[in-house]
Amino acid sequence: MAGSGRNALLEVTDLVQSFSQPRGILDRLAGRPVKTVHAVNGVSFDILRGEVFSLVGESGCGKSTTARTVVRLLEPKAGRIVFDGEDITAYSPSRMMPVRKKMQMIFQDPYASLNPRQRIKDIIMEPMLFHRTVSGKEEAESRMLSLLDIVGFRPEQADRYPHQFSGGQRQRIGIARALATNPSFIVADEPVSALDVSIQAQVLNLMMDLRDEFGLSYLFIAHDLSVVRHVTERLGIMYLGFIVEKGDRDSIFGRPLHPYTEALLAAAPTLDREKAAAPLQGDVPSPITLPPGCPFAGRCPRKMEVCDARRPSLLPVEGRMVACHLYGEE
Amino acid sequence: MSEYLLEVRNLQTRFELFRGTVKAVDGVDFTLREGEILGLVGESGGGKSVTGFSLLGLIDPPGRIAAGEVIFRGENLLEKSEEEMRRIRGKEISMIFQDPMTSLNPLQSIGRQIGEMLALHTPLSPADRRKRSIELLREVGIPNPEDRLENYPHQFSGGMRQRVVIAIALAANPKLIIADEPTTALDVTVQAQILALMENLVKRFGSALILITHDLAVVSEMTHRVAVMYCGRVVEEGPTRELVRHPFHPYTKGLLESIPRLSGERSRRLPQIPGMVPSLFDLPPGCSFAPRCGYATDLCRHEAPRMRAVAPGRTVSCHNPVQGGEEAEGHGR
Repeated sequence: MAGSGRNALLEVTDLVQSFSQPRGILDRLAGRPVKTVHAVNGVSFDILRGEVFSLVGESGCGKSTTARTVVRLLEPKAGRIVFDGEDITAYSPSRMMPVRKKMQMIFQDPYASLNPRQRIKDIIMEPMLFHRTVSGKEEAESRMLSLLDIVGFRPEQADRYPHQFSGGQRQRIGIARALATNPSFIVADEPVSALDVSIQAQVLNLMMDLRDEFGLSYLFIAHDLSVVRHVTERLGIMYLGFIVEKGDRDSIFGRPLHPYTEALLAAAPTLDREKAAAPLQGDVPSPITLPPGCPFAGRCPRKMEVCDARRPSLLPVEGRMVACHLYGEE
Repeated sequence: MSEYLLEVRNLQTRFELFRGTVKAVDGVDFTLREGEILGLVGESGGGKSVTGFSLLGLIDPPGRIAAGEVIFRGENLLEKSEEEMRRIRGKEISMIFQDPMTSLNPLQSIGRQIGEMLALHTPLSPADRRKRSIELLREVGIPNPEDRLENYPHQFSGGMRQRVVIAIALAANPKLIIADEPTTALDVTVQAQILALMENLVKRFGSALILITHDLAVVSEMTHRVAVMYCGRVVEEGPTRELVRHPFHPYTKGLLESIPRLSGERSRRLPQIPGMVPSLFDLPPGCSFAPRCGYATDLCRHEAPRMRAVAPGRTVSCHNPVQGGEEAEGHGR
């Protein structure tokens, strides 16, 4: 599955991320130990050039943390990140700078991710001027106008401020800003979940057109499975900081193997079905004390004895990778 | 008493603002029978939440209910005094909101919050109230309800909190529950739990439910009938299955087609509705949807359509409804 032989733009291997919970003064006086949140626990995937790879899961599963660590907004605790042939795992902030312009982000909330005091043109020109991808103000201006045109704005709208635009328009401005430095890789963290359905389709179509036009690769983070099915070639399903199933779209949506993937697909409301299947019981366990066995064991309808005792590893099954004792040949 | 539990006629709710008057709800009609689940669906700014609040008289200045009737069990709620409404809210009609964290009081144990509802609307003694609270928590699927009564909202997960909110809403055994985006803040597996729970309880308690949501997929799985709102008006109404399969209004059709599917064919591009929802300060003359509509004619741009019956049980407000309610097609089936 993972393809060092293929033309991977990004290769992530055994990535680990954790956070220490701040202790209050009482906790310190009482000598209580620092609690650690295990957000990402050994995640591996790769993304080919021009490919869309999605990380899917419910809140707290570590998908956004994985994305932020991959672009080095967070320091990885362990693992390896290779981007465009360079091992950037331990790059200093100044060494990251030239890499940064090749990896950009689109955020979930188009209201919070644009500076309300900057004009649209300045929002879009800032990254070009900062990374010096243009020779000067003049070139920046002409590139800004062509970017605005690409995402569907008229030149006279460049002087406006973010509050003069709707949510969907703002998201398109965020996309233009991400394209400003001519990146090859874009992390899109829930880019359409704050938008209305009819606007969501517009933004998704735009993102896919841009991929074809500029050969972009996307790391797409989402909780909405139908959106993921529409945009992605391959995906990984995350639960409690682990990838539990990983593979290409058609095998996973066609026949999910991991019981969690199955439950997630069954729970997603659809137009095509009369009634949902019996919903999964319980809640996601705490990422502070990880279960010793399978992370999903506590909610799994097909749990066996071995599941509490030993954590399953990600193994190839039917053309994809699955971490589940049901399929392990021991 | 009429055959309907609730009849809403020509409801108009306006907000008088400095920039002008916003007709957030502009002549909404619908009916609801006992035990029925109705979906009010549409995008932001459609007026669905304001409609929900208007039914309960929960509109604060600068907003006001300008006209219309809300006939609940034969009586017009819009003619009731605030005092009378207070006895109806929670007892006869209760409401569930989107965010369970803000609809619960963080400083009171949940036992006290359920108890308060029972004290206000039932003749139960304190001991019986406690018993009933435990029953209600068990009913909504909260484990160890005896122990959980003393807990505070922050000690519950999002899904569990929404269960508590539902327990409070059901406490006085209301005839009608209005749920405004009750699962939008929740994860999909938890959403599935809560929707299944609400459906079961509504059935068991014999209450009617108005489910306000932007999510057509949720509506299609949960509701018996659906009313689609756009710019303060109901543009189409009918039995859910039929409406989802054969929409008459171009807006409904556009919405349905723009949702990516979980199975079937997958087209490269999603069909999209061009443009965006117009500003409520500056609605176009004629039909509000005309500027975005592929079927619009000159008539649509000048004269607002009226609601009319197009098939048994189906009404639509459109001059040029989609022919014969053709299949919402384009992709994904």
